[in-house]
Amino acid sequence: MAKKYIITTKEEDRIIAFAKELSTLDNGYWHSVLNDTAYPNTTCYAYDADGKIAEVDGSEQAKIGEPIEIPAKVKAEKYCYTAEDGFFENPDYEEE
Amino acid sequence: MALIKNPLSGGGGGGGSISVVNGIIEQYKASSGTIDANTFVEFVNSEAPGVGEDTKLSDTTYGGDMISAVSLGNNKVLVVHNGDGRYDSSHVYGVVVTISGVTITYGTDTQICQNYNDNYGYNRLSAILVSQNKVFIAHPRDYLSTAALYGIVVTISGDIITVGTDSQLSTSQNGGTDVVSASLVSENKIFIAHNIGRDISYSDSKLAGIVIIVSGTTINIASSDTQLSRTYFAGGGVSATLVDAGKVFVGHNGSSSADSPGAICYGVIASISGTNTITAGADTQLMITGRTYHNFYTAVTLTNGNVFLVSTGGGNTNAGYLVASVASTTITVENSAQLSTYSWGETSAGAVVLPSGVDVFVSHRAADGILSAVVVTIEGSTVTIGNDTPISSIAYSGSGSSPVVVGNNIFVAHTATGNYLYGIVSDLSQIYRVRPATSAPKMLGLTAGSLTDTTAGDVWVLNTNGSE
Repeated sequence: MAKKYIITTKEEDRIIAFAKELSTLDNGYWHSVLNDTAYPNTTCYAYDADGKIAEVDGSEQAKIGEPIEIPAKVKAEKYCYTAEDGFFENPDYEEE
Repeated sequence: MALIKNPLSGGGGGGGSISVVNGIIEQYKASSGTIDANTFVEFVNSEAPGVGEDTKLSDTTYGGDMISAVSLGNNKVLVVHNGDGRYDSSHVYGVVVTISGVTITYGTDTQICQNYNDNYGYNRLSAILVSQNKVFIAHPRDYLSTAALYGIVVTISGDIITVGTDSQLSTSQNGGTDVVSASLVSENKIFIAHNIGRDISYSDSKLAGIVIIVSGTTINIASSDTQLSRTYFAGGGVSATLVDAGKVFVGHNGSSSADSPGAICYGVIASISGTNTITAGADTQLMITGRTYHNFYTAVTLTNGNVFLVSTGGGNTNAGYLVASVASTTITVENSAQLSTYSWGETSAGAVVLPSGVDVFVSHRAADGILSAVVVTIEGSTVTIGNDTPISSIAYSGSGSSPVVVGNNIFVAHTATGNYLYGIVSDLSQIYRVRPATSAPKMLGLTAGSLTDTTAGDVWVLNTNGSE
């Protein structure tokens, strides 16, 4: 299983992205380093193996631990994730 | 009882409406019910806006499938549009429109170049004023595997359009198949955002940008065609707007996953250095809802450098907006919400910043496909939405639109029944939202049902403690 950080929506806990490397930008947004893609910390949580990563305001980098082992069946949008419940299927997901 | 000009903060709404004509509030109409002392009352015009005759500007079939209007000054507007058909038979046309009050006259609709575009209703033409009489037009040409980004410069003399040479700007595979948005970077330097790879419905579609320099009617490619985003399904609904010297905000579709059912709004800052090298900041997810393949974005830059972006989309999704600030190459979402419950369909909204620099006129498709307009006021991160008002009664009139400020009026080029190109002028003051005054509060009397010594843009508070 690959190890990655998880980005979810705060509203639905829906997984919207995985990141092999994670950092934070000057505005505190989560930053998937290898894809150079950012996700607002106002609307998105980020998780490492220790759970939900504490948000920062951008004046300092977030303290980011080890990535999470991602089961092969887990896909963005199709699954949700919380530190308490782990991975579970997104009830609103519809195949195209 | 008196009305005082006093932009107090807080408080709820009240009753009443006013008509604003030529900047003078002519009457105050109290509604039923009571208004508490010092209640903050937002007077928003609820009258039907004053509009001119909705005028058919072109007889070419499918003439309104794609529209981009640009002000030429002197009350003239060039409307660039699709014509002659869809798929493998469409061409780029242009017509010069002259506006006097709310009256439109127009010249001969002129074929500018062959286009061979492969679909309709998307924002695939982008016209930019380069000099007083020269307009650059970016457009896609051919479709499917041979699709490519092209550009051409036209010269305007009176109502006559003279065309330059249509030039291929991108050799990337499927470059420019779906969307094009151009932004003037400086003087004669233009940045063009477009998609490369495959159609926006495919996961390998990517957002790209290129810089060109216009000299007379000659177009010189000044940069490599540079990929701006690594997201999937990227590039659909693209909209580019200059936010600072050499920095362009590009709103676009994207997705973090190739397996995702559709895409949502992302934004990226493209920086153009003096050597015409394009570098991209982090591609930033700006919305988390509204996921479809066919979202469309229209982004404009406010006076304070913030970006106001309107999102419309396929699947009958509601229209939304967001306000984003930009620091260096970092984009921060300041505010986002629903804009209208009626804007739907695979069509883009039009938006233009009004002279105030904080008000944006948004034209869009509303109920029953009718063209409607709303003025949105953005002050800091506070967004106030005015009345969403129909401005055309013609069927399918809101399937695509491009608004331009002309003096005290707004000209809106739009699609209407039969997919023909139409144009209409709206008296700006009639749809202008009444917003807080910038001057110090002062007392004004209410005499004989009329108010004077005020201007459009004032907010009034009902002072029930005073008699004057």
